[in-house]
Amino acid sequence: MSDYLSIDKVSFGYGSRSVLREVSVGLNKGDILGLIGPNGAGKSTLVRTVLGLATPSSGRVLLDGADIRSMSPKDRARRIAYVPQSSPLSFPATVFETCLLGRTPHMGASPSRGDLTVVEDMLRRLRLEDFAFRPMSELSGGERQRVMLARALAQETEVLVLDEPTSALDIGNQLFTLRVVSEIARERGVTALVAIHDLSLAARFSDSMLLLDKGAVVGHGDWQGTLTEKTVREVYGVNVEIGLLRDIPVFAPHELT
Amino acid sequence: MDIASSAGLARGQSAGTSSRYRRSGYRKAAVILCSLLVLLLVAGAVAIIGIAETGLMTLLMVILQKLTFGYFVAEVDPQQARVLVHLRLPRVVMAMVAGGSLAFAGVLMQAITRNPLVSPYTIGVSSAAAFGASIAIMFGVGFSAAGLYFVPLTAFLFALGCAVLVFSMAWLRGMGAQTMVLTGIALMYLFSAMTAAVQFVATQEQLARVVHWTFGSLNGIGWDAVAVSGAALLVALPLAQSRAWQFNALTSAGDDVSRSLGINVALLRGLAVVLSVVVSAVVISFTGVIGFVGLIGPHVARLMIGSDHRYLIPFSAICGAMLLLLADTVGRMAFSPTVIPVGIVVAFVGVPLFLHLILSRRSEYFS
Repeated sequence: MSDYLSIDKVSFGYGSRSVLREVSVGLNKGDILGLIGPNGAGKSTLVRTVLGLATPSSGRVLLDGADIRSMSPKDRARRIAYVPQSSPLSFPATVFETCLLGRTPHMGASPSRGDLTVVEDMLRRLRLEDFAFRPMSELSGGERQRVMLARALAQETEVLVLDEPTSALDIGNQLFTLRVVSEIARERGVTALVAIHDLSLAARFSDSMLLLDKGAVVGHGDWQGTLTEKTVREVYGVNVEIGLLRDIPVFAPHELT
Repeated sequence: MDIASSAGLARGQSAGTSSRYRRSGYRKAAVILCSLLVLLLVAGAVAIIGIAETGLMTLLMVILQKLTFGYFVAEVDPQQARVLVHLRLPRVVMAMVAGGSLAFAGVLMQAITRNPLVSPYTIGVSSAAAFGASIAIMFGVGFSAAGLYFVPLTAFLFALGCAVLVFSMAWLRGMGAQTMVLTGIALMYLFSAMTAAVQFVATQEQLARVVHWTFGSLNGIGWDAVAVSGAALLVALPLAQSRAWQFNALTSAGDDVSRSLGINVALLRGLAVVLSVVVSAVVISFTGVIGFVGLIGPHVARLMIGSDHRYLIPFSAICGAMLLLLADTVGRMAFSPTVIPVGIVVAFVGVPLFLHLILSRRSEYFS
C-alpha cells in the first residue's frame, strides 16, 4: 500500500459487542479525512485506535509503512498528535503551561528555549497571545478548544487526530478551527483525521470522507459520492435536502424517516 | 510601558509570551529558595524558644560541635546542650520532615487522581497504620524483645499492606484514578472499624495509648525516627521531581492526552502511589496519625506558586514543613508545660487557614 497513513482491516470489540468491523482506509500525506457517522458508529474508537490508545482485536494501523503499535510511546507521540473533544479542569493551569505540554515528547525534564518559541508562535497563530497567562478555567469553550489545538500543533507531528473538535463551538470558532487545521495540513504536509458531526463542515474541509455505520464502512470517497440524500437517509434516518450555497455544501434535514 | 520592557523590545525579546513564561519560572525558583531560608530561620528560632538563656549562638555552637564530632568545643552548659541535642532539635527537625513528607505525599496523590480532596490518607494508609499500632499496643506486651520499634514497625507493615491492596485493585482495573480512591475509602472504613473493635476489648491503659497514638504527636521523637523518615523523603523527592513534567500532563490534560504525549500513565501512577505511601507511612509509624497537612500543604503551595509540579512538588514539602513546625510550636507553648499533640493543633491552625483560602480565592480554584 502506498498510503501514508493506512488503517488496515481494523476490528474492535467489547466482549461480544463489535464496535469496529474490518475498517480499512488510506490517506495520502497532507490529506484531511472527515470521519462521519451517527452517534455510536465507532468514530471515537477508530480515533483511539489510530492514536494507539485502543488496541484493535484484529487489523493494524500503519504510518509510513510502520505499525504504530510497534513504535515506542514517545516515538508515536512525536508523530501523531491528539485533539480531544474536551479536557478535564482539575487544577488551575495557564494557557501557556497547557500548550507547552505539547512539547513533552520532544524534551527532557524541562522545556528548552526552542520549545518555548514553538509555543509562542503557535499561540500567536491561534490568536491566544492575550490569554497566555490566564487560567484555562477562565476561558470560553471556544478558546479552550483552540488551546487544545495549539497544544497538538506544538507537538509538531506528521499526523493530527481530532475527535469532534468543533462540537462545542459557535460557528465562528468552528470555521476558525477547521481553517487552521487545513492551513497547517497544506503548509506542513500534515495528515489529519477529523471525526466530526457537522456534515457541512466535514464536506467543506475534507479531501475525502469516511462514513461509518454500526462499526462498518458504508461510504468512502469525495463528499458528493459519500453523502447522498439516499445514504444520509439510510444511515442517519433523516430526509435531507443537499445543496450548494456559494459553493459551500449545505445539508438541511427536514424530516425524520 | 516601562524602560525595562521597551529596552527588551529593542532587542527583539521580552515582549513575547515565552520570555514572560521564563521570567515567571525564575520568580518561582526564587520563591522556593527564599521560603527554604525562612523555614530554616524559623526552625532555628523555634528550637531555642523555651529553653532558659539559650540564644541563637548557643544553638549554632552546639550544632557545630556535633557536626565536627566534638572537634569544635562549644562553651555551653552541658545540661542545656543535652536538652537541645536530644529533645529539642530532633523534635524540630522531625516536625519539618513529617510535614514535608505528608505534603509531598499529598501533592502526588492529588496529581495522579486529579482530585483536590485527596490526601495520602485517602487510600487508607492512616487507618491501616492506626489498626497496626492498636494491635501492637494490645498484644505486644509479651514482645518486648522486638524492642522499641514494635509499634512503629507493625503500623508501617499494615499501612503498606493496605496500599498493596489498593494498588492491586487499581492494577486489575487498568490503574484508573476512580478505582484507587474508591478502594482506598472502603479500606479506610474497614480498618477504622477494626480499630474500634480492638479498642472495645482494650484495657483502660491500652485504650489510652491507642487513642494517644491516633492523635499524632512529636513527643519523645528521637534522631532514629528523624533519620529513617528523612532518608525516605530524600530518596523519594528526587524520584518524583524527575517526573514533575509528567505530573503536569496528567493533571491538566487527563489520561488519554497524557498517553498520546508518550507518557506511561500506569507506570507514573504506580510510582506516585509507592512513593507517597512509603513516605507517609514511615512518618506516621513514628508520630501517629497527623492529619490535614497532606491535604492542605499542596493547596497552600498551589495557591502561592501555581500548578507546575516542577515547582509545586518541592514547594508543597516546604509549606507542609512550615505548617507542622508552627503547629507543634503552638502546641508546645500554648498551655506550657502541658504539650498538646501536634495532630490536634494542626487542625486548629490548618482549618481556619484552609477556609480562608477557599473564601478568598477566585472561583476558578475550587470550582
